[in-house]
Amino acid sequence: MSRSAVGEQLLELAQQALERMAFLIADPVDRAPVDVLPETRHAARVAIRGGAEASWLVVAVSDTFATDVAAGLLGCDAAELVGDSHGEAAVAELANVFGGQLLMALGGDRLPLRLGLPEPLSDSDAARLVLGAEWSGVLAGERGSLVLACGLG
Amino acid sequence: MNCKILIVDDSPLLRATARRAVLQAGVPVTQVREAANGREALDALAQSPADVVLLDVNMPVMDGFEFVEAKAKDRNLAATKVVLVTTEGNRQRLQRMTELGVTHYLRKPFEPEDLRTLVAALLAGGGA
Repeated sequence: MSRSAVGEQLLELAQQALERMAFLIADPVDRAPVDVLPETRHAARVAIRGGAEASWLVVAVSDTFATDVAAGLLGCDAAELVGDSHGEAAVAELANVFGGQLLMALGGDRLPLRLGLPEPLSDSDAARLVLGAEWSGVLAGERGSLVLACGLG
Repeated sequence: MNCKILIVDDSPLLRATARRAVLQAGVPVTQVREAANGREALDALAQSPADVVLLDVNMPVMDGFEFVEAKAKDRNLAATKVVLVTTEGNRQRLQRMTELGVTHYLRKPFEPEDLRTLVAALLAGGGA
């Protein structure tokens, strides 16, 4: 599978995952990920190790998108969520799930690849990684956006 | 049958999600405890047994695979069932987990209903 095909597959799998785990509908939009990044507030990176070079994936989401993911996971209304901790937890879980999907797309069912732990990213680190990504895309939900980017080792 | 559940996940958000699914599964549960990694889970089980462990794989300190390896060496934990909740599906690693007694898997991403169904079937004495 070509690298761009892996990216496109990842975006489709991310859409399906959001709907499945958080009942969140999000669609691809034709916006440059780097233009969407200033709208995001939470970002995380996860690495996939085991090949000659590590692959990685970055997820960045707006505050409202993170809140909607957390609310969907918990089965509650977004207005019921108070505090800020759910945003970081939600983006970490998205990185974990999408990272697992990328790992499988890279042949993880038969290759000895390992998914690392999600690491929170600063705005500047997220921007640097998205700018240098081999593939990136944007999903827009009803109340916010998600940027997905990956580097394939 | 009243059951004791141990939820093992490093994410408080995911532990809360699993707790909700367990409590909504429609089965009699007497106790739901939580642990943030495999090491904490082993400590919790040493204090008090559980019937079912809902086990995330990707965790710091001691991950789910390491927990299953350690649990298999402790005969006191032989009756505890493990549901492995994982984002990945490496055949070799999953085969190793099966050899060590893991009988149920839940692949992320899953719907909350999938977890409720699995827990209900497990606690009713069946499988899913």
